[in-house]
Amino acid sequence: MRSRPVVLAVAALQVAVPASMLVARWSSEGSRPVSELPASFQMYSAEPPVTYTGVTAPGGLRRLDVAPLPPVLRAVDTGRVLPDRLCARHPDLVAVRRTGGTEPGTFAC
Amino acid sequence: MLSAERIVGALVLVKAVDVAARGPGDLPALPWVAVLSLWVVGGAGLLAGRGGPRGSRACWALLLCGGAGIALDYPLELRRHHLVLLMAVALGAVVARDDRERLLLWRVQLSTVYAFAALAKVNESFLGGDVLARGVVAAPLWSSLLPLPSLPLLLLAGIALIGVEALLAVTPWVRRLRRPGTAVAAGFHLLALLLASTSPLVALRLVVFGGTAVLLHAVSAGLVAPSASGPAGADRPAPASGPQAVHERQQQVPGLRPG
Repeated sequence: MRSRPVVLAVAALQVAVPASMLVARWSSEGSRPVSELPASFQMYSAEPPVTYTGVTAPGGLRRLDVAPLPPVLRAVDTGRVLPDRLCARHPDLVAVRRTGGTEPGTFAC
Repeated sequence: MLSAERIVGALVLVKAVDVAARGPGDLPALPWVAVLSLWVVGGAGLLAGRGGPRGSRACWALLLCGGAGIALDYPLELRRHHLVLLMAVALGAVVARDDRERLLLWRVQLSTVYAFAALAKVNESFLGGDVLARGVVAAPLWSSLLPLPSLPLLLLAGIALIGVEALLAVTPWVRRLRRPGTAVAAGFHLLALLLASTSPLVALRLVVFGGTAVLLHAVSAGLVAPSASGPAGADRPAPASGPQAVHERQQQVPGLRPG
């Protein structure tokens, strides 16, 4: 038995709305999403932005970019994994400060 | 018999508690009361299960209107997936002419929910483990019992979670997996309720979402009737009747010939 066009149209809508939302999020936020779009069923898939700041010996601060680090690893915002990598990458730092996320804090290099 | 309509009616009334607790939001008091009334009358009508197919369709339509009103009142609601899921279920029930069409639309919706939940998690933010860690740390029940899981455990749990959601997107379409899928879904949503309930209102929303999802799995598996007037397992071919069917059945039974 074939389904009526209106049923097929609703079924297509059911898939098209979240699909378009997923594409929209990928194109605007990339692989590190910070938001969940409406009617998208993207629950528990994004996190608020986490930032890293380097502390130098004279007490200076500078924003650190995690993009050059390996994918996925650069998104690990718990523990010392990322601070240790950033310390190794920037030998002039004495500490790395994490703002936001589950475990914010200052990590000595 | 227990029907999906009655259970959805109960879940709608649970959601009404959430809406009532938050008050008028951006709407003036009178339109807010109207929106809440549409929602409550629709839910109560489904729970009562009276009025036949026409009454039931009217209740589903009231739910759609009430849900749209709630979404207009609190724009954040469209980001709360339990309301979107309930509205999608109502839309399927309004559009469908019979239980077979209703089941088709509800299965598509069920697969859509899990498939996009899984696809949306395939990103660095989720796979990095912080989303799960935040959930664990924020959930009072969990964090009071256990320390923050180690990084490898978080990563494995994230991958496992995506796998379970992907599996639950498929089970409604494979006859042999429907019942096990219902059991897995029930366990999955119970775990989510335990882990992610950060407040009574969040717990209530998780009950509405998980309850609706598990219900759709149970309907798909033929454990619950899709409508108050229809039997469970509506997608099974109905037994034929009439002289031609009697003749065909006699042909199928060895030793029995038409008289």
